[in-house]
Amino acid sequence: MINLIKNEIVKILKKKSFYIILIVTVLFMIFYNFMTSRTTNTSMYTRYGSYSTNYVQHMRDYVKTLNPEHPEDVTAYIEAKSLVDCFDLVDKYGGGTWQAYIIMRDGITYTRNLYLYAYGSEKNDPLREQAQTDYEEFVALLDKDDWRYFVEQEKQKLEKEMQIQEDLKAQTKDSVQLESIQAEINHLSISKQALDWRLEKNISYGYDSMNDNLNQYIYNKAMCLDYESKENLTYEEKQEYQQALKTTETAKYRIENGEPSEKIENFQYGMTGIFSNYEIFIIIILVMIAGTIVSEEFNKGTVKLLLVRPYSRTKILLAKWIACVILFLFAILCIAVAQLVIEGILFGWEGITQSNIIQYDFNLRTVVEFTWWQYLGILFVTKLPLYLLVMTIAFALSTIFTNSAFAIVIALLGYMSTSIINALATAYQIDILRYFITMNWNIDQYLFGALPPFEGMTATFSIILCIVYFLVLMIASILVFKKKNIKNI
Amino acid sequence: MQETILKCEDLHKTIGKKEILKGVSISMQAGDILGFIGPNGAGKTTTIKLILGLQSITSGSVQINGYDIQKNFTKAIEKVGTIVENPDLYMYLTGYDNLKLIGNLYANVDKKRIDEVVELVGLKNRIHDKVSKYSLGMRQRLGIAQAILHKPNLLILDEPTNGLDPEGMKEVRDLLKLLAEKEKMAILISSHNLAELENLCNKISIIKNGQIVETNEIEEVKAQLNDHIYIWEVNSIEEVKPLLPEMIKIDETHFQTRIEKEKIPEMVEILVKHQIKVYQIRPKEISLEDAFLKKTGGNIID
Repeated sequence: MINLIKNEIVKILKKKSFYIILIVTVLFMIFYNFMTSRTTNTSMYTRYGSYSTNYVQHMRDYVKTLNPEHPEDVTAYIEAKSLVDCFDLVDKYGGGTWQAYIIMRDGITYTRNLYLYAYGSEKNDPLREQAQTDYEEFVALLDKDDWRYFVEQEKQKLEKEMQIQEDLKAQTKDSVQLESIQAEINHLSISKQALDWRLEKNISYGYDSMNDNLNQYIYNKAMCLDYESKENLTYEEKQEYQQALKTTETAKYRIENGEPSEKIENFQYGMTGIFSNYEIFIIIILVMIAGTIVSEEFNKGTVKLLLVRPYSRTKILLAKWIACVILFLFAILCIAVAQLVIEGILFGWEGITQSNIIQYDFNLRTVVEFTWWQYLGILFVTKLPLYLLVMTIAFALSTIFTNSAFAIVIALLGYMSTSIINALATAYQIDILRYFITMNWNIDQYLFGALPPFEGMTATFSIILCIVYFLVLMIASILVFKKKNIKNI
Repeated sequence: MQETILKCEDLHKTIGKKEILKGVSISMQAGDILGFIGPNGAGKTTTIKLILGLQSITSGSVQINGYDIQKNFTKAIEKVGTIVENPDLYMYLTGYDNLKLIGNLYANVDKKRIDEVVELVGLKNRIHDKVSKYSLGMRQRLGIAQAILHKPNLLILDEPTNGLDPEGMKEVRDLLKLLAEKEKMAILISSHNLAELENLCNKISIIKNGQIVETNEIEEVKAQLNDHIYIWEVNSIEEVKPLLPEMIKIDETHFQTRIEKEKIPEMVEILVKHQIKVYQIRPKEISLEDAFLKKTGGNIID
């Protein structure tokens, strides 16, 4: 039996097509990694917040064509000029600085007042002078390079707001109103929590990933609280709640424990992303091997000389299947090693030993941390049913119909239509499809206690279903292969 | 009593409604070279596929070295070497790799044995070339090499000299004769090239429309068909005609008769008396081809 398996592996490894597809895969990987490493370096468009550089240029040109003394232009001038002043201020401190963030957030109120009271309908000299001093104070604060001052200010404002709500709460008796007040207080305290973190963890304003985490936390935590206060959530709401909870908890974990450097993050993202980024290549390699391994022998007539050896047909077929699995593992290993080498060269090797992959575990209700290889291992195991089943479909069709093209096309079609079928099934709640293989072969949908698309589906259910499908396919192929007459040519 | 290597009994094969084999029985002892002949479509290849377990048997049994092919396939097939139809080997591999793959499946084949077989079939210089670069003759040799690699005691060859030049055919014939003698193999050869079987086999089985019509020693088949026909050579055939009315003219100096051996002196006497010069009288030799055509009644596929 071992010799049979060895023979089958040798037969494939001596084929040029196997290496061609591996080389194509690796070339794609190099291209893909090169492109992603470039796009992460060019994060220029956060310079002016949500405004693109083109828009900024356009506004600057536009402002020059307007005359504030002209009544028709006045409103447009005030708007445009105040904005352009903000852009100029940003340029003074440079993009990506905390000042830039504050300017894009608050600056417009100061600059608009300047022009509103100078040119607008409410021309008012004392107010204009006031606005001018306010503006100068604002700039002075920016010059002082003390972002904490702004945080403290924000915090004071929040606390005041909270006090008002607390007072309201003490006066109100109506339960519905009480509820909405409590919700408001909760939301305010979330924002306050974020500000506390800024001070504690030394997170200045800006557009970096830490600020993203803070914003994510504020937004998603509020959503979580809303869902938690509700009773009788629908299944869809439960799924949304889970999503929000996951984002909240991972953001919180990042804020509390720090972020890995961009290089390390890129490295780890690339390593753990091999199954999602290159899945189509993995599937093609799989299907190409499994879809031809039996049918080609029939089509080329070599099967006759294989079947007159002292091995039972069942053993010969199983040996071929096992050879497919071994070659598949070999292909995955090649891709993983290639990815490691490409990334090591592009991003450096620092990330190799760090455990910075975090996931929220819904069962443990805590964030768990992994190294990239641990996480990759988990992903691999959960992806295995999909790969093995796609492979077995190609293998079974190849055996039953002895037609390579048919086997390859149907298996690929099955894989590619997975997302469409699953989307239709969940959109229209076609309940019968929960027994369909495409809904079940992605075991990673259950990872860390996540809720599957259909209520009541469980990982055990899916695994059993996968095994049933697998056994049906294998038994059918073995029966057909055993009974197969080698026709006269 | 020599040991029986192959024993087929009453093999039937039906595909759909068509009965392809209608009770084929073959028996072979060690050292036998059995020529399995028949017109196209008579069921030669089907019989061979049934023997090898490549097709299911409708009824009847095949025993190889005492093992039933249906009940104990691996034991039965272990000492069988074969080429079925064409020597379909892996074209993208070298000849040597092909042999190695097959050798891996048998415990008694090592590197030395492969080299030995390569030498034996005369492929030594080209064995490391890809099979796709081989000529048909070389593929046949490689086919024979893979068939004898594991020292089988039964060799089943389906048209092994197909596509070989006359020199190649002779080489293969000599090789097979040598194998039968030296390794005590029983060899079953199917062919429609009758001339080559005549020089190679010691037994023939003739199959027609899925039935064996004759199995015998090759000489006996010929003898049976030799119906006392003699060919005469004389100086002038015209004068013989009135004297021997039953004669059949072949050309100006030859004719043939169908008479008992004992009557020949009598006739010679008559001819000599009439001043006819008799140069030669010989029995007409019947070739296997004639025997074959006689037995099968021409090439009719139904």
